[in-house]
Amino acid sequence: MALMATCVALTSFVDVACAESPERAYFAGLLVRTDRSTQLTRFSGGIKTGRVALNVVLDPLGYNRAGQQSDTDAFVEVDIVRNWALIGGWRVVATPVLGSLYWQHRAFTGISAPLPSLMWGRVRMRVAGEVSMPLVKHGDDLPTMTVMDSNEIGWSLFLRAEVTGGF
Amino acid sequence: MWKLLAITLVGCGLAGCGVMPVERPQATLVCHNANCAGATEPTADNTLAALDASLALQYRGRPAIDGMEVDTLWDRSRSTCIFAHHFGQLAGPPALGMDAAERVATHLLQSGPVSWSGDRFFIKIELKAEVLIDGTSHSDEEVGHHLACVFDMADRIIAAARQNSIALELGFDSEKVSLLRAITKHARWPGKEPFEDVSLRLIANVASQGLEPTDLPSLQGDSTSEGVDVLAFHATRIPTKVVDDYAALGATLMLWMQDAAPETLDAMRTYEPRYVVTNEATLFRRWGEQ
Repeated sequence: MALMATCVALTSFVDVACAESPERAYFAGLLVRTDRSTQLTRFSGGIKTGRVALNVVLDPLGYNRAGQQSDTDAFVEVDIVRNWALIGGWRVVATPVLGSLYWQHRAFTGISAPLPSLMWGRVRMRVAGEVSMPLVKHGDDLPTMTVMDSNEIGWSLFLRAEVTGGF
Repeated sequence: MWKLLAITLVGCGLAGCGVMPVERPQATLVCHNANCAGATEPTADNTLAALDASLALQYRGRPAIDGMEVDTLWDRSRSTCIFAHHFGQLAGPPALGMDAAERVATHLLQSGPVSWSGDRFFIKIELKAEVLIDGTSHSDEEVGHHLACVFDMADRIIAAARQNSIALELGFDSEKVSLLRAITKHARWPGKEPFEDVSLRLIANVASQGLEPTDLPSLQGDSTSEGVDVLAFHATRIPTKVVDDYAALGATLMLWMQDAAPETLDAMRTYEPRYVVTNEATLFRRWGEQ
């Protein structure tokens, strides 16, 4: 009996059916990644209408850590099939270099996919892979560099856990 | 068909195609915290016993390292300059900075090779920024005392190197850039190339506060500039973009670590730093050979 109760609780907690999201939804939570191309944890959020989601990612740790970079993203997700989506976005990276900020603009693209949601569907989980490349770097008293000057194409995996609801 | 395949395989084997050995980047191998003769053991860092063992470390019949790092603290409670990494490490009376300099000088005066390269040696003297266990910073007067101490150490090591015709590169290192600026303003600062085969350098960290655009020429190798020459970085402690940017600017980089991790070895290949500071000297010698 106890085992059955545990199973019922777990299947409620982890929504393995990946419930249909409402037509219009908001979401906000954490974005985590295992590589060091950004801070390990950032805040993500956005809205979804129909098949299109608009997302922003903010970086409070990066904004507040002396001597470290910060990364701010804006990206679009377009559902293709069964909640799998194409990603296209823009990342602004600010790095403290020689006493001023080096601003780097990166374009990125990738694919995201749904994972089983948590907390009875209130927390959606998504995993994604991205490829990013720098387009331009500039800063006061620092040389401007374009994609032709650097070889910093990167790829990463990241996970989002976001509270979601309809509106 | 089988004959053709066999001929192809034998041909490939003879021609060396297939998995080609990748040449690994070589860097000046510096002994981290004067303690690199065995596995990483922080409690032995900056002790005379570990310093002696590290200077004596051999690999393939010659000294394993190219250089040594010694850390110094101005100890307010004793009014002296000590050879230690931090105050919390001290279990008993610490050795003096000058004791460490004397050991290095004795090493440089020995006959035979003094480093992996033979007659070149790198020494890094780090100035820690705290003067008490609670992290209190130097007063202006204590900065003067600490600088006098490291200049005494440098003079002793330079004299030994010159006496034995060893080409010496000596770096003053601090995460506090204001201490490095104070070195170049000190009356005893002799410039970056004071003698033939003796070079002085300034080393900070990529995350150090106080770096300026005027440091760029020296970071790119211009030794006539009084700015910082080398930036140290760690492969896993901060995100990579700051290091990426300094590498793209052509800055001279120094990779430091405690335990070598896969990311550390990846950073060796990615950034090809001029210096690598490690507690695992033998591991890096072997890695460089493969």
